[in-house]
Amino acid sequence: MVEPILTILADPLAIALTLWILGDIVVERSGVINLAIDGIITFSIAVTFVAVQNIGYVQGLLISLASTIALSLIFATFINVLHAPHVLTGLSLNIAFYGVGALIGLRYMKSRSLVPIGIGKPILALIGVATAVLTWFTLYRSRLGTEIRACGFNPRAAEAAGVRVWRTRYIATIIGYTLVSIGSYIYTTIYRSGWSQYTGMGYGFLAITLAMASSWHPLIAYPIAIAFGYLYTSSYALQLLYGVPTDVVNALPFMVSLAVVVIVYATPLSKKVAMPKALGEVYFREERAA
Amino acid sequence: MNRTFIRVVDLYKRFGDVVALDGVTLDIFFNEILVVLGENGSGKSTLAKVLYGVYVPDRGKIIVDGSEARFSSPFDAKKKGFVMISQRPQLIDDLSILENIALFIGEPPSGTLAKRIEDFLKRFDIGIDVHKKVFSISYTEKQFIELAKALLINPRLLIVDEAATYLPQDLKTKFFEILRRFVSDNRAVIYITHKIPEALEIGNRFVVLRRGKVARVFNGAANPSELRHAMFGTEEYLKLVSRQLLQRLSKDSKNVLSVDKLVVLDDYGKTAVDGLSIDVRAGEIVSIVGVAGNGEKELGEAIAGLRKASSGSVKIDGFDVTKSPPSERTRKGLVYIPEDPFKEGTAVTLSIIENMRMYARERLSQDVVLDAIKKLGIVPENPAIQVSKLSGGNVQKVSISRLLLTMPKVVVAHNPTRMLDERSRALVLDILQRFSLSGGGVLLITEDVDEAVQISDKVAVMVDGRIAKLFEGGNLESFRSEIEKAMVHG
Ligand SMILES: Nc1ncnc2c1ncn2[C@@H]1O[C@H](COP(=O)(O)OP(=O)(O)O)[C@@H](O)[C@H]1O
Ligand SMILES: [Mg+2]
Repeated sequence: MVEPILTILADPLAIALTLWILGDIVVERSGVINLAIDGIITFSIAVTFVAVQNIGYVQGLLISLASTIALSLIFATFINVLHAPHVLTGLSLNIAFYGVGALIGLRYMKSRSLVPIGIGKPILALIGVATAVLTWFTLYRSRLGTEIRACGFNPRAAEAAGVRVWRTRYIATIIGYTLVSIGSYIYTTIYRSGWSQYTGMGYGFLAITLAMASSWHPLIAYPIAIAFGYLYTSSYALQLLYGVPTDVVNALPFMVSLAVVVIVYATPLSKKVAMPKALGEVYFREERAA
Repeated sequence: MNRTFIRVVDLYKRFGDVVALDGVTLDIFFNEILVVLGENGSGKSTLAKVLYGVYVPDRGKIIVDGSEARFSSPFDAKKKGFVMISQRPQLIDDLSILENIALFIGEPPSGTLAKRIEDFLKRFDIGIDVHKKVFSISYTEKQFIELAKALLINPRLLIVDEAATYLPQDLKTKFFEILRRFVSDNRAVIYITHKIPEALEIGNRFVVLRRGKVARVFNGAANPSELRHAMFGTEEYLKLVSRQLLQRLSKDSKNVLSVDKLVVLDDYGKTAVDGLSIDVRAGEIVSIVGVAGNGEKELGEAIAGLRKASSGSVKIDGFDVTKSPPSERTRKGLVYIPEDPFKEGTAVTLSIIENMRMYARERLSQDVVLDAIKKLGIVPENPAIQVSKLSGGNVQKVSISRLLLTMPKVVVAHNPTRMLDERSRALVLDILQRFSLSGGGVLLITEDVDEAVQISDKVAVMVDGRIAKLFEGGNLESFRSEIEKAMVHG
């Protein structure tokens, strides 16, 4: 009984997805629409892959962290300092980041695969649960998290309360992309252990969608990520065992996500976990509210 | 003996072509409550926001304890011990009371903090669950939470920007006591208001702003007449508001609004209006006075069609509109002026003229628009300016302007003069009187007993969703104390 549950909870794709979604939640809770995440994930997978291949596993993690955070800071600067529209910035940066990732990957790749890290299931499962709980604790029980959520609800009122909105959004971006980077690392070195051009493309958008489905709540996001990962990786088995048609199997994870969205939004739960209302609002300090 | 705490030197701040502060210089002493008075749009809030770091001035200095302080955000101002409570509560609706206060004082929202806050509020007889989300609490509670959070960090300067002006009298008295005690200990309060009686009640010294400049400073005693002259340059407007009953239409004109045994629920499903009936005839002004929270808001919304009536009926100009949508009621001749001009009365992201076109639902000539702006004294007199850039009182005037743009039969207005200075208030009351003289009916839902007795033919006191008492005929001013008693005791 324990074994199959552990297998589900330790599914490396589900764990990577969990970290990506949680990272996205932290960024979006601060009020920033995080569309650049897709380009950044694609990029960080490429960087992780070549860094691990060329230098080593630990160095690879550090290089991935540093470069992922660097890219996210470019994104954050467009939003916070240059007051660029969030959606446009995210989408155009994505295109640039896909390109840079592909370039680095193709230039430094030694072979198409690497030796996957052998890591115990309990540890992997723990990474998923612990990150979800920690993210929740940070957002809902700490001073910083309260500030981050305040910026996502109403940046002007947050500023009036003495929160430095742009600084808080930078910090949220750094925390969020630290998680994203670790997610990419797990994806590359444990789940996939291979790379080709644009590997990972689309996962960022998936993470954004599932974060939204969870109404940006870490403890709702976690089961969604696990369920999604399970259905996604076991779809082949479903097909073999029960003869479910391929199209249905492929659509299943998405249908389950939709079902979760409906459940979250149709029940009193949605009242309890308010969405970040100022998401995507271009914020200038001096414009008046009252 | 007056030791200087803060010097404000030659502050200048402009927004586009509006000069909000035009060289303001003033001193703030220790242990004083300095009142800043001024008409709507005179620059009071701008001054407050510059002192709290929300706006960076274009020119000028703030000198604290003898050395210059530069604030680039409220964060910096708070570090100097400056705190502002603003005109509209600056709380985050989706966070709990606890989280809002934690955010402000820079602590995690812990259980121990919750305890501290509850103890603090208990000292003012306010028992409230601090885990409640802010959107579910009343305006009054929000303002007290603002005050509590400000006092909890022990500031040296407390700037109160019309934050107590709209509180019920008993709480206001409590608020004032707190402020008086607060300044006794090497601190200061800047108390901003446009209400002269309130200013005289709380102030030690008075600074009057006019069009962004310091018009006059009163070091010590001031009298209302002098203050009025400094604020408006005139007292003439006082004559506008006198009863013009005799010229009114005959008593047996027909009802333009009839509310019959109306029952309305509030947002939480509790009965807010409890079988209330009231009629307004053509040419008549009827006031409903009550302490906020007795169902006034729900009554206004039910008449306007914005809230469902559980039972009873509403008739406009003889037509039963109980089941009609708001647009249908407007077509039958109703104009409703909601209480909150920011949230309900205007679309703040649109310009003045766009808002007016929206009310009128037809093309408006520039002349009609400019005329409405003039009649209400909206400043700046620029129809193209975005409403969010106006001062609070002027936003309210834009909300009121709808009654000048169409030919309504009946106007229902909820606290329409709440944010207005004395002169603008007189203009609006005059507009309501003229409207009734020309045969329109007015239902004025207000917490301002003065205006009710000044311009009405009848005053109904609303308590617990019902009309507790009706006063009519003769000199309503003589019933004032009885009215006030009825408001509290039913
Ligand atoms: N952020 C802003 N953008 C444009 N105009 C503004 C802004 N803030 C204030 N103003 C203008 O400055 C003037 C002073 O406003 P304010 O200080 O709010 O007046 P009040 O004395 O009523 O508090 C008004 O004419 C207002 O329209
Ligand atoms: Mg103001």
